[in-house]
Amino acid sequence: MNVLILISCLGLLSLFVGLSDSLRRYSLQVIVAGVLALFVLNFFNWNQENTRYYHDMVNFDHYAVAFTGVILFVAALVFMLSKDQFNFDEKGTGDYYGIMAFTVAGAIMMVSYSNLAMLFIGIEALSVSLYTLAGSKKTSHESNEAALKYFILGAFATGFLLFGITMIYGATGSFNLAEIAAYVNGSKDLPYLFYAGLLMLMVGLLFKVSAAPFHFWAPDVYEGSPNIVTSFMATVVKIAAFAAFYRLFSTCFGGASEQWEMILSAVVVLTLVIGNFSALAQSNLKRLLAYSGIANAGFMLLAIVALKGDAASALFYYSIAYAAASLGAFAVLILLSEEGQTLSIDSLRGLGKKNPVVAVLFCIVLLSMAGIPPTAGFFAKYFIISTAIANGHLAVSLIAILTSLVGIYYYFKIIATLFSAPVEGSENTIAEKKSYILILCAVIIIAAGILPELIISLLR
Amino acid sequence: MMTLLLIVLPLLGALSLFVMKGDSIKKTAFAISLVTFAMAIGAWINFDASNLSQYAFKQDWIPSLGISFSVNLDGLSLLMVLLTTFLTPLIILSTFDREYKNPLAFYALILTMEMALIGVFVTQDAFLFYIFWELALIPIYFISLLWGGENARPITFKFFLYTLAGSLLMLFAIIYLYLQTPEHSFAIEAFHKVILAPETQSWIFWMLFIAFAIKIPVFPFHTWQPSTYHMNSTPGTMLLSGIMLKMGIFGLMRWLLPVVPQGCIDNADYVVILATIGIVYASAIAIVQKDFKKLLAYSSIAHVGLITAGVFSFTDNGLRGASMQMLAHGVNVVGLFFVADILFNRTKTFEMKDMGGIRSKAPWFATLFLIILLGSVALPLTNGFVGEFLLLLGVYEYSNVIAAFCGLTIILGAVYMLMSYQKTMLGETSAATKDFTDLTFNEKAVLIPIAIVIIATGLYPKPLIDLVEPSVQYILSFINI
Repeated sequence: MNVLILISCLGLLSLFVGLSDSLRRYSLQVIVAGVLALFVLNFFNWNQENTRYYHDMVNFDHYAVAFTGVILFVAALVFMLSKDQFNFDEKGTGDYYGIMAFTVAGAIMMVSYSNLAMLFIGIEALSVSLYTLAGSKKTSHESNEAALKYFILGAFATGFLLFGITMIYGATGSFNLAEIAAYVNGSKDLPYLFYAGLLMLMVGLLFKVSAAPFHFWAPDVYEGSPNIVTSFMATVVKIAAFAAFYRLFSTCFGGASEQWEMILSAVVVLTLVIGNFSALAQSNLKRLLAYSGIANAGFMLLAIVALKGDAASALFYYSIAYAAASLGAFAVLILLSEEGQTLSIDSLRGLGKKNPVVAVLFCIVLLSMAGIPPTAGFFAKYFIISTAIANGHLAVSLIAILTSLVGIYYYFKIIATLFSAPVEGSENTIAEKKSYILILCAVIIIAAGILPELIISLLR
Repeated sequence: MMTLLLIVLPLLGALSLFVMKGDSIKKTAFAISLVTFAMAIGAWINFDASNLSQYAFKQDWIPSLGISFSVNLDGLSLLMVLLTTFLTPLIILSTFDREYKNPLAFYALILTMEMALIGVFVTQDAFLFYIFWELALIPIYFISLLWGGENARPITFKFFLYTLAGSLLMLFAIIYLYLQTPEHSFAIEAFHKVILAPETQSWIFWMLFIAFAIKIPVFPFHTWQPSTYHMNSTPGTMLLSGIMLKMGIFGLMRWLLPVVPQGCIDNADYVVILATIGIVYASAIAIVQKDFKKLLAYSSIAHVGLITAGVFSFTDNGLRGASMQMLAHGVNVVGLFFVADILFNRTKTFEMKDMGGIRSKAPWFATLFLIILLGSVALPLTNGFVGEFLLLLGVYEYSNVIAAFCGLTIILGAVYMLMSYQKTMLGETSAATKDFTDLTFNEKAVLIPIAIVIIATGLYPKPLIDLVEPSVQYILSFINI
């Protein structure tokens, strides 16, 4: 709980550090040290007796603490990744970190809320910060376009979300999750007002997680935003959105599952098909990652469809595997852009020869994304599929498995490119760079693949 | 423990190559694969075939999901391990006179592949089986992609996606079966205990069968095979045809028949008919091939078609024959692909019409080729005869009409193999063969052990049949309830 207050303070601190000309170059160290300290501090919330704070506005149960831990750790990695991305002599650099810290605060609210009002505040804190970050490359046309697109569509989705919350309040008379759950389980015939509210809420959340058919913003926003912001969106934001989604549906709406299960199953299928098949046609690495993010969203939604049993731990494991793989991919992307290369897949040609270490590490990351054992990505997909099958969702699971074959195709296309001969007469490859984040991600992927029990037993 | 060592040793060997340089890489790789073979022989010496779980090693891996790292050896597993560990050193040795770019990665991948293959053959846990099954695919993907010939990329992709599609169906079936086990376990004994309704067994059967059929490959799932074999480097083709396809047949025997016996019985007719079509079709195409390597690829489809039909005869002879023929086919096909490699290396072509008269130039080569070829056409007193005879016997007990068609594999096989020998070895020397040199020391070192095994197991197959007999009986005990 104190983590939530402290991360907001850390954001403020970053702003002040950024103001001072002499302290500004320490911005990065301050934020990384702060977030890592909070990551450690967060563990003290594990197994506390009293988990509810602020008149039951937030509830730091195991689920919340576990996801907060992941969010903080991933955020720290993203900050480290930003080392060479900002010019620390320039005024306003501290602002980036300040705003990102506020985003993390919003994310923590989203995984720990026990009141719909808190969920809304969390989502808004996160989204508004992100709108700013998406446009933070002020002179870039694409960055501005991304910010505007994201803002307009995001505001629209927020409207849906708020409308949904209001209707649920109208039907149940409460914002509190426990009371809504009691209402859902207690009454036989739920009023239409409630279903309308549920549907609106779902639309709002589906937009935030970029599920089809509400995914159109994602590729453009991902492509236009600065790399570091995109990696932030693809990891921290996505994990928070899914954790919030699952928390809401598993606590409140489990009793009314027959009303939304079919709709959500259809969304899963649509998301998997659209995400994977669109990724197939991409030649730009960043756009491909955006579509693969959509496809991954389909898989994570499947955990929400399954809802019961081990779905929470499956989602948790998936978040870790997905974050590690995405960050690894973005680390490579950032290496490429530092060398001033285009972000097309073809610019990776010959990497296997010029820089075998990065190529092999990237290969591990891609294998994990494709879901090849024994990487974390395989177990992530496996846990979700097996939970879904266990809860009787055979058809959707089969579609999920088959569409992941399409995923394998485009991931392996990149692998093949990595190890193919470089283009004649061009020097366009990252020759001697290395990335510690990439190494760390690969280690996490392998370790989580060899010892999955450690992670999934946390939320059991 | 021994079983675990058999898996770990090649993997450690692959890692150890990274500190090596130059020529010592391939020598170390060869030495490691040889030590692994020696260990497999060691396991065989003290082996009691009637005990179906020897050298067992079990360690909980993901206990909450009932997944354990559980491996052991029975007669059938040991036979497959012997095949794998016997062929791997030969495959490595066959590269000694050739230059392969980036040897470090090349030999490390071959050893990793050996590790995964042994893992597939010894595991007792369905989840672990799937992991090794997939793991075997990754090294061969890279070997095909990076050391393959013309059009390596599209062909590798077709092969890779095709097999992965099958694997994913298998994964789905495995998860479904796991959820039906009373104690929620992936152990093979738990799978044996699952009783499913016949309709459910049928669709589980097809999911698993398609996965295995793609790997074998059974008609009509074979379309990836000829181009993949043809394009691949010789070691890649040898790994694929010699060992990897046996994964599919082994999968039928260990993971399909005992697990969904009713599904197998209900659908056996379809499978046997598909296999028979494959035999006739592939043999017919092999006859008209002008390219020697392609001819071998199609002949391989015909041979494995017969093995599949034998397995689905559900008879003692059929399964025994399948085991023996897996061994024989593995040894022979590796020998034949090496013969093709030697021909290509010296004449720069696979076209048989450009060759001829090699026998007079290279008597060693011609003689060893002839022995391997006779094994392949199942001449009595060679290893091929033992396997194919038992298989045909098994299929005959199943249906005599089908057996008549299956018998074509021997007749047609003799036609195209002897024709190819005649075209390449006999007659007048051509422009391409006039400077044909005889075998080098390393080439002899590959082909002579193969020839010895062909004759030895053909003359006296009893120890091997005795080795697999209890496993075969065990498998059949599920079918004949």
